Amino acid sequence: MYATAGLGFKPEHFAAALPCSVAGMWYEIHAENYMVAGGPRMRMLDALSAQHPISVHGVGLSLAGDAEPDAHHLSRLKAVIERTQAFVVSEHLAWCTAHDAYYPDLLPFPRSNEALQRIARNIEITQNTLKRQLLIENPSAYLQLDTHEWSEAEFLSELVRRTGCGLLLDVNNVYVSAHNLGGDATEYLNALPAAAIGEIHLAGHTVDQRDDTALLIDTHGAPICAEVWSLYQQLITRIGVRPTLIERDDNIPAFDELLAERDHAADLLLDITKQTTFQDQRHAHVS
Amino acid sequence: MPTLADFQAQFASALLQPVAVANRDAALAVYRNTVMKGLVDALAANFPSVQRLVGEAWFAGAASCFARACPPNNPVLAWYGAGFAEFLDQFPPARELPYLAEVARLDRCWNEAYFAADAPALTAVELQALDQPQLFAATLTLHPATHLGVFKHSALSIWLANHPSMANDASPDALEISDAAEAALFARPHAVVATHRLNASEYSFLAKLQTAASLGEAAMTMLERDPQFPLAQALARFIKVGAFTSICSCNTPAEQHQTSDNNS
Repeated sequence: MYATAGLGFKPEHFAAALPCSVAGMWYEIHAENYMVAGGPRMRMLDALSAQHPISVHGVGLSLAGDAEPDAHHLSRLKAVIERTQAFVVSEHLAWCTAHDAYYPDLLPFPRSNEALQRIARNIEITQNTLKRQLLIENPSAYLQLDTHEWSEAEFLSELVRRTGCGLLLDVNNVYVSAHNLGGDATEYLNALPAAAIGEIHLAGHTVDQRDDTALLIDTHGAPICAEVWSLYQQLITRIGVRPTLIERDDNIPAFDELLAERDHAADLLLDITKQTTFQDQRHAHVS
Repeated sequence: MPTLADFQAQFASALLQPVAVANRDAALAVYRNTVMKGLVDALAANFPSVQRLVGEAWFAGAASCFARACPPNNPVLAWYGAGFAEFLDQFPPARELPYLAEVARLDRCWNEAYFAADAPALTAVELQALDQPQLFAATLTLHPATHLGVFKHSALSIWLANHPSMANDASPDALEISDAAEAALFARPHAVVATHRLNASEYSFLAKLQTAASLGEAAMTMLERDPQFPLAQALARFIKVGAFTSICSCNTPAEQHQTSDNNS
């Protein structure tokens, strides 16, 4: 399988997405949208996964919740992974369920030692049930909490060390969080274990201007900004080629417009591949 | 240092607070807005005819009231809104629109048919293979996607003019609203959900078959009520639209299909 840059799958793009034959194309689906018994939506997924590599991205496990992952939800997730023969599976460093209620967002928590133990255990339960590695995505942050005992990059690195999970690095989330909470995006990227990064997300955000301050909101509702492209380029230059996803969940444009953004990421990845191959050849020639 | 449990309990209660309270903190408002938008969007996706009838703003107001009182109990939002029709029935601003809760029930039936498990549809050929006594004793199992219901206040006519799958531009104002009850059968033997009007007798017949009565038993009940009931014709229609998945001519009761995951 050969996956370079992919797109978040939107059912309204099905007719164009299915036959799209650009090299290295793949699609990511939100697992919870396909946890239904049958019908047209599942047929669409079957058709798509018969033609393209699929990444399964969960939004409902609530790994940072103060409870073990729901066993029923885990078995539904496993079914979606098996049905699509997913090449990569990811979830979030966040919570979304508490006391039998589900909140459709990726919610923050104090990065305490207690939270670290709980989340490491939840990742282990998930990986043991799914019998595969899970990639954990860094969230976008808005709320300044003064009760953290770990920085986010250290927390993620420690989860990798303890559980053997990988990382899904969302470059836009790094940029948005650094802006909202104050921080250096490049420093954050440098602090993560490069070998653990198994996938990259790129998306656009929205600026919410309030008086003299602005919050950046991770709406996935706009094209990727120049700063995020630049961080991405620096990142892949340093760590090498990774499957990279362009996400758009709001103000969804025509398929071709997203494909153009995707092709830009694919071109950047191709440049890295060429450079790496050139270096390898040079090393081989010298030795 | 708050425990994870304390932090989450406190944060979760802040998420569903009314706007005026939550908006004091811009960062909290981001989470709150995202959660509310997610829940309202999910209800709009699951109740498109209700939204079309009342407009986006009215719908968002009603949906956020419902979401605050009844957040989903799991992350599969395709099933969200189990109590939305009952909520609308009691929602004071909806008092002028008696058909609205019924339209919500119709949207829900359509969704359940749409997301139900796939299964083969029973064909007339399978029935023709049985002799008269076998047919009499046989029980028919509804296809997992088959749903039927009776709807008051002309809601079926209103729904048919407003559900996105109907591609119908009729305005609800153009429809005559009466207290008439209408029966509907939703079937999805293959990829497409189809909605069929039933008359009162057809509805009773199919409802009787749904309770696992044998074909003979259901037929007797119908003919006692109305000797003129065109039994064979009704059965042929149900089969033609793909309402059944199998026929069991043995004496053991047929397995009943359950709608799985239908729990939020």
